[in-house]
Amino acid sequence: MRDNRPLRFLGRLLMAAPLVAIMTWLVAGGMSRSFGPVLPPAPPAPSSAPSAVTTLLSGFPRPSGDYPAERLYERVDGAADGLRAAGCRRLLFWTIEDPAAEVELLIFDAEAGAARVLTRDAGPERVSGPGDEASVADQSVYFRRGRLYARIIGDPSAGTDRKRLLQLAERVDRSLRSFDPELPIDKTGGQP
Amino acid sequence: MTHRPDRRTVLRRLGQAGLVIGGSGAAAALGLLSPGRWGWHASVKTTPVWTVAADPLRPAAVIARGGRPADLVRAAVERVGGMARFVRPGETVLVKPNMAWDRTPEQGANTNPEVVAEVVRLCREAGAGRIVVAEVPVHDAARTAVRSGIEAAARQAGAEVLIPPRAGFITARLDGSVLDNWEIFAPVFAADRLINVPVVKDHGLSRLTCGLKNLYGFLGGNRGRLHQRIHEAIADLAVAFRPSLTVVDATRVMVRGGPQGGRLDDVVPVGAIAAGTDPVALDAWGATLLGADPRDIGHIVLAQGRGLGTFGAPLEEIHVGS
Repeated sequence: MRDNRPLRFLGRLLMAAPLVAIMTWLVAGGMSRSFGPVLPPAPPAPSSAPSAVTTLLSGFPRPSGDYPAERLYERVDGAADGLRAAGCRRLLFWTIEDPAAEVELLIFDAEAGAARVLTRDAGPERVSGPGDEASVADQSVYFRRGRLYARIIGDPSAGTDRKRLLQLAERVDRSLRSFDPELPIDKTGGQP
Repeated sequence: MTHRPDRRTVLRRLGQAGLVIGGSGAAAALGLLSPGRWGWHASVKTTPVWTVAADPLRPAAVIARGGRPADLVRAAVERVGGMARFVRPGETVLVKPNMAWDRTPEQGANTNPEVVAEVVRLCREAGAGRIVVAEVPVHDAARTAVRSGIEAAARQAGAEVLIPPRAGFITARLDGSVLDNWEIFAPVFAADRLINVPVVKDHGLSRLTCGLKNLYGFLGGNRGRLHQRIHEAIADLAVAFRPSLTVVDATRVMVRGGPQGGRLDDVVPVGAIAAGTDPVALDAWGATLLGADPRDIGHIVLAQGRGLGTFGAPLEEIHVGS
């Protein structure tokens, strides 16, 4: 009698192969699709993520965030459109620990746009202080130098006082004199 | 001895196997085997219904003044029916504060943590099984939760705090004029009740952010896309997500520089809390705190037009200290 076991084995293998393929496909598909809540979308490349951005502002650490015009909303949400309309093309911010404060630097196309936003934020009153024009309060210093507009806000929980805030503002202003607002985000050199 | 199938049997079995394989393939191709196809996890959800029945004996919205934030919350909620009207024993309650900004409580950019904590306590007293404080912050989520003071206060009061990436997003069908399908923070869909706890403040684009705008904090994805038609988007959200109760924090009101703010000079101590089931009336009241006319605020007008509430009549005021 002829031994047909190899033939039977081959036949079973051929019949099993599609089923194995289907099971693999279903299992792989199930694993690739979330059965729970959809994972959060990849965060839009947070500017605070490691990047080549480092010493944009001389004497200051790398910025905590750097937003081009089209991503301003990630920092200021609903204020983004107003800033863009005034010609804001980029926003950087630093979280400073000593004194505890936040420094935001907004770069505009022209001085007029920066001046308009300063007035909108702080009103028309000006005091002598850093930059070309400044508005100073106990917990904040807003000033404009050319088409650069800086907002420095003391941390209320740390009790950062006006004097230290002004000193910080003067430091920022000095750095702005050598600041290149056109410096591309990815060509800003290394960590100091 | 093994039975050797004849040619006819082999062909029949091959045909049967082909039918199974082909049928499975076709079913998969049509999406019939996809997760959620049969309801156990829909990939596109519709929004839950959280509203409670109207009570003609209770005001739709009240304002409480003259006490500590927690006392004002308690008094205002009591006047509109008490938390037991809105939360039943064992229910999962989602509390939605404004916790979007890396700001401290004094800066008035987020809901006052004392207000959030008192809402959580009231839910617990009403027998809530699970209380979740949830938000999709604009600024760094973990830092914002801490600096706002809300995470600590809410946890101490007995709530969980969910921010991305502690929970994910689910695509929901909103059927709005601007918002159609959008990624929504997943905890929303696990809630039996929604209590909206916004803060009143200035907003550079929508003029006001209060209860209606606060629902933006459920949205994932690129929110900036919605800014071109912000008022319609807010009204769409308000139709899709109708809270059981809204508790408006006006203890500190940011009157300029919103929504981000930061300057203490822009924050005015108002010392009031409003609560109720009419989100339109509550937003209209919030607008007046900014010196704005509610009729000039697009999303309030749209929300009224969509039947979400009414504004115009003065709200009942209660004075806690008196």
